[in-house]
Amino acid sequence: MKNMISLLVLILLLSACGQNTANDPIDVNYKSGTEGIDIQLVPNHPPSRIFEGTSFTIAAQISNKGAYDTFGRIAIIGLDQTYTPIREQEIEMLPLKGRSESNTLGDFYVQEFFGEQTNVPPGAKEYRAKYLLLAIYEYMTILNADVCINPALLDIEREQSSCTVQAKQRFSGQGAPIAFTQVEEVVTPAGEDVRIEFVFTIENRGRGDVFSPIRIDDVRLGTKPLTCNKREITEDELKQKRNIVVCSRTEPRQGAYTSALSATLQYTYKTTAPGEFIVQRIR
Amino acid sequence: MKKVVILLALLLFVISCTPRTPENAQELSAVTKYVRSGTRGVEMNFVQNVPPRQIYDTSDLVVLLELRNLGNYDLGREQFQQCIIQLGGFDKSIIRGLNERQTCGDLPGKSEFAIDGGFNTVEFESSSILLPPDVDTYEPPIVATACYEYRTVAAPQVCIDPDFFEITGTQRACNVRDFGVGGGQGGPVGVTNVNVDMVGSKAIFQIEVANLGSGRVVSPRASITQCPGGLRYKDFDEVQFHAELAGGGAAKCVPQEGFVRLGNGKGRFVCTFQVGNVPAYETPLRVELNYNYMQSIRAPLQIVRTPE
Repeated sequence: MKNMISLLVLILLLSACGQNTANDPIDVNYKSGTEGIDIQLVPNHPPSRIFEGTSFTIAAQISNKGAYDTFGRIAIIGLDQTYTPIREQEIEMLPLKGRSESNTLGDFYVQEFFGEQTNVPPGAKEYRAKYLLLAIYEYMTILNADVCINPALLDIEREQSSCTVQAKQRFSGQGAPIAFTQVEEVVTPAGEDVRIEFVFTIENRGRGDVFSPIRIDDVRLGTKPLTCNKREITEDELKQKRNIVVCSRTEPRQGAYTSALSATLQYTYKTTAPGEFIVQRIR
Repeated sequence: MKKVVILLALLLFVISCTPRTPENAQELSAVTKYVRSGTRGVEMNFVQNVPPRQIYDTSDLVVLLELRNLGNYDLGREQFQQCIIQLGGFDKSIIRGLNERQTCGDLPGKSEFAIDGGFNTVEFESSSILLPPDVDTYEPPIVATACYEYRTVAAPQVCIDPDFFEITGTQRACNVRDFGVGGGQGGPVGVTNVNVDMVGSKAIFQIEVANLGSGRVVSPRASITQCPGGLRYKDFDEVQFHAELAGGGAAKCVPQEGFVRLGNGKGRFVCTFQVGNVPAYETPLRVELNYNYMQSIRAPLQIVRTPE
């Protein structure tokens, strides 16, 4: 019995000493993943089978599962207005805040499209109404990465140097469908100074498509701006894998240091969700 | 009987606990030996929690370093002698207004009167941290690099015996032999081996030196003002040497310019002395090594954006 108590006390002590960081907001990186707006059709809205002459409602939960605030439009396309008339086919999407320390799930709401009296084509027993819910929204991606800058071009021992230059850093996502997937760092001498180049690879990792050129803004090393070889990537360039942007800066030679590399992408993104229901003739 | 044993144990305890002062010659010699040995130079430590592991961007950053000269060479005494501490590892556009380069101050080396060496503290402070927009955390290492001039003097006893024809060992005062010099001579660079060869009236010494510390040797030809960020590859791993034999005449050394380059932390130079045709004798070979030395320590830091 005494042994059991000692064991229990020990287990209690050990569990109390364990570091629980899951609830620590600072330790959770909300700017991760590759999701943006997510559309989930609400089950039974409308039911899978309705009778002709009845009205219907299509409902979908619109969630911002990314890390950035957004606004845009929601449309329903593909429904024949003759048989399944819809009052408003395109609606402004409510502004939705992204995931953050104070809003761990991101904003969401239910959007309803109200249909009027349904019909079935003459001679047909039923009408299969297929439709697509489409969200077109403004989104952004912000890259933040600590990078090691060694403008002295000296590769001194690890214990003497403040940091080690990583030639390539790979990323899985920054909390948005368009992602910086790789940053390559190249340092070359330029007279008494050194030229530091960052080669950014940008990819569409989301389940939708880009609906506008991707603007590249605010590329900075610490608080210092970098100069880039292009300011935007078009939809075609992204599809054809011409998705590289090179940004650079000239720095005086000095000791190695760690800095914060940041860059912002701004774009319009399009995501869809398919649905269908059957309008049945009343005998 | 039991009482006697207890009394003896008490006596032993009292004797062992009495603080020892180097009163007699033997103990003084031990202190001198201690002072002139070792492989350390300037040692640095961050004062605990200064800097803290994590701060908010609205806080001040304070870094406090303790310096101790554990070698046998005084720093900060001569006017042009240099010892600097450079704080780095961070982006100066984010951590701003920090006096990142400071002198070590007066740091005497170990001596018979201060066997722990000189001690000093250096403080760095920034009250202006500016995280770039959209950057929530920034984690630079805080790296303190000490760059200082240093000197190591070794004086191993060597045997000079130019007389080849002397047959019996008993007639000799000493025997010529190679020997290793272990434990350092009170500096991070030291003599590790002395190989002796007698060629007629010439004494040839092959002297091996090595970087025995944890830092990096910088050539004394490079200016401390360039250290650490402005140094080039050629500035590393070079030591200036000077060897003399008491009454041994002028030395002819190779490399002739008096600088030896270290490969994998080790180097070798050869000095030849004309000693004449004299009976065998022992004498100190004084080897002086001049160099700059660079070593770093680091502390992790996380700067977190203050929630609005």
